[in-house]
Amino acid sequence: MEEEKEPAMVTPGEVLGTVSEFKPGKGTYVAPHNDTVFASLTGYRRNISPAIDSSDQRPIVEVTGHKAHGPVPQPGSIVIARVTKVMARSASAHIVCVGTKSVREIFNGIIRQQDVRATEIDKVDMHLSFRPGDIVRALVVSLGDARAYFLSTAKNELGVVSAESTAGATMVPVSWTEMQCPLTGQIEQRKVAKMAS
Amino acid sequence: MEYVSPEGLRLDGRRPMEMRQIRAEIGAVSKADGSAVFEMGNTKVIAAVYGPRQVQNKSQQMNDQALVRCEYSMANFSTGDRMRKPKGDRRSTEISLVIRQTMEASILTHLMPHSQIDIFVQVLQADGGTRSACINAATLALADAGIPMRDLVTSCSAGYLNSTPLLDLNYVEDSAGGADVTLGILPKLDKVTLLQMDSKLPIDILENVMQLAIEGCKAVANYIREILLENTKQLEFRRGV
Amino acid sequence: MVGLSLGEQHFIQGGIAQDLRCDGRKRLAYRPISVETGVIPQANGSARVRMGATDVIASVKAELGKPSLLQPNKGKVSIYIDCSSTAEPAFEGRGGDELSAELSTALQRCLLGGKSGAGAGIDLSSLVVIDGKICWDLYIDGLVVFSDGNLLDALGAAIKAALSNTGIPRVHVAAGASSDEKPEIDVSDEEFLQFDTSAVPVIITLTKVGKHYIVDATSEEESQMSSAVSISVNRQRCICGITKRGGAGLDPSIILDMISVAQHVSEQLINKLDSEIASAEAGDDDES
Repeated sequence: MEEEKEPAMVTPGEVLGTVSEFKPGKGTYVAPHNDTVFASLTGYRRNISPAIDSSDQRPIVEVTGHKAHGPVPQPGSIVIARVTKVMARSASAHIVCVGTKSVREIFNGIIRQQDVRATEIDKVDMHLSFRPGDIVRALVVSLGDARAYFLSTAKNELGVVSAESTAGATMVPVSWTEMQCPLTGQIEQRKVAKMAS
Repeated sequence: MEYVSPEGLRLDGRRPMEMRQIRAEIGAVSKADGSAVFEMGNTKVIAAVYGPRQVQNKSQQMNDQALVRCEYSMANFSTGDRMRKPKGDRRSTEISLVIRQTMEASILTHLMPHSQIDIFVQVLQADGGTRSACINAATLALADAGIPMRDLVTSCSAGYLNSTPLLDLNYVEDSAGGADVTLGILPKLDKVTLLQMDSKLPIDILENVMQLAIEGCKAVANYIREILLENTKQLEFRRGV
Repeated sequence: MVGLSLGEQHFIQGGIAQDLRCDGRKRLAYRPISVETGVIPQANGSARVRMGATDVIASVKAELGKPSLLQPNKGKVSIYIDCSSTAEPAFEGRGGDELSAELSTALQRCLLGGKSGAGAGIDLSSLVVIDGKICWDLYIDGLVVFSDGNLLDALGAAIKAALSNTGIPRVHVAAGASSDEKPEIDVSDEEFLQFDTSAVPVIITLTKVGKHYIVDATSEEESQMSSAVSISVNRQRCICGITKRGGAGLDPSIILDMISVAQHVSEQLINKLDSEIASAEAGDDDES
């Protein structure tokens, strides 16, 4: 990554260049009619040269503000959510983090039965996959319906990352479907996420 | 009544093409996502922006863009004669709508689907041109909140009294019964987003008055830009960069 | 509005129990207070008071009116508080009305004395121009610009500051008018009467969290309160009004204890406020 020597400060609406010169990055937008790149935030303008192997050799222009608005879940982003309710065909959850950033507002997510794991999706028992209070890592599949984002845990590294047993201790994962309570030794069923070691 | 003296001075001593003193400050409400105070002469408004956040009323949610809401309210002590009006009377509903539509035109709403942005403007003192002041304050607050915008919307009013086009009317001039044009523009894109006029005016004079208002908007835009850049510099400085 | 996790709640409660609150204050310490007077030139008097992040504006407007029949020798004072939606998105529309009404009545109780106005901090008889005919009506308007707890104390302080900033025009009554005619009056543009605000009480709100009580609670601390008692105390250490809010019951002996604490705290607050008001007024004069 290479930065311009002296980043210029810009405000929304300022012309940054044309589409033929620059590739629009964060904090910029392209007007549909005249192929001009404009700033959409207040902050410093930075030109980033493209990766050498990429086919598009235009430098990326972006504007970094001092205060970005809070993160909003988007399809494809990895989120951390707390399970609030488990029903027969789905589980609802509150999204608490998008990527590495905590959200400022409450966003509801829903994990449907067919999105819990990748195989044998018709045999999933929701109650043996999640419990209320579990902390889950999940992928946002779509913006969902009016009430909630659709989340998926159908990958090895997705699923429950932290859970409390009935005795109140934080459980230790023992396999991809089971977690064990360190106090009582009791084994509970979960869709466990595989942690990168 | 004479609003422009033979020497070409207005009631408050300004020239016809002169704006009142403008002053702006960013970050007046500490816990809002963005906020600003904007003063045009004696008119003083506070704007606060909350969001983008989850939509409160699910039936209003839009799947392809953000919902922008606006509430305009006047403090009891804001006008010369004390008045006590309930929130949401017709005048403030109309102004709320005007501000909302004007701001919505500049916010890149499609980037934030399923969310809502609230803009609250509170008039502390009203001395003509509250609409313009509110729009300018809202622009600053939105920019402070880091909400992506096409351009900074700025607004200014102009009027026509004693056969003279006047820039930035104060309350006395506003209530004189002459034409009053409130204009909002996207200064860099050179587009008009808001245009309101009452009373009648020949079309060639309207052109002049509008041109004057556009000049006013551009002057406000330059000032707002300065304030924003200054604020960014200060924040960087405080962060020790 | 304030959403706190269990850990944060314990932290706040534990801090209060150990006499060291989240922002480093002791239980009976106020946040820094800043006073600015004359912020609304259109009003007869106005002040903006900031206590930490809490930010309120009070304005006083005087209008000539007629005294009520029951009290012909007294002026009228009314207090209205408005919660701006800039302070909290929840205040939008009619959302702030309940809180506004609660604050207005609490302030009326604390500052105006009972129905007869006997215990009022403002000398109502000084507002009379002609007995039974003309008096000044004072409209005190408060506006909550930003709320971070302890609104009542801040509004009380702002009203006190606004009153000391208030100048009421001197009224000359044309002599010789007979008693049943409408007297001719002349409102002076230059001469103003200053108010004597030394009798205006300050309001101290003691918020009970756990076993202890604190002054000047932030909104986080207020979310943990079991009950709160607002006591208005004047310079002579007289109690001018008491309001209890919040659900939990209080032992009568604790209330008496709270009152004596409030009296003690009030002295510091009044001194602090008076010096702030004086310096704000001095700054004001320099500018004009």
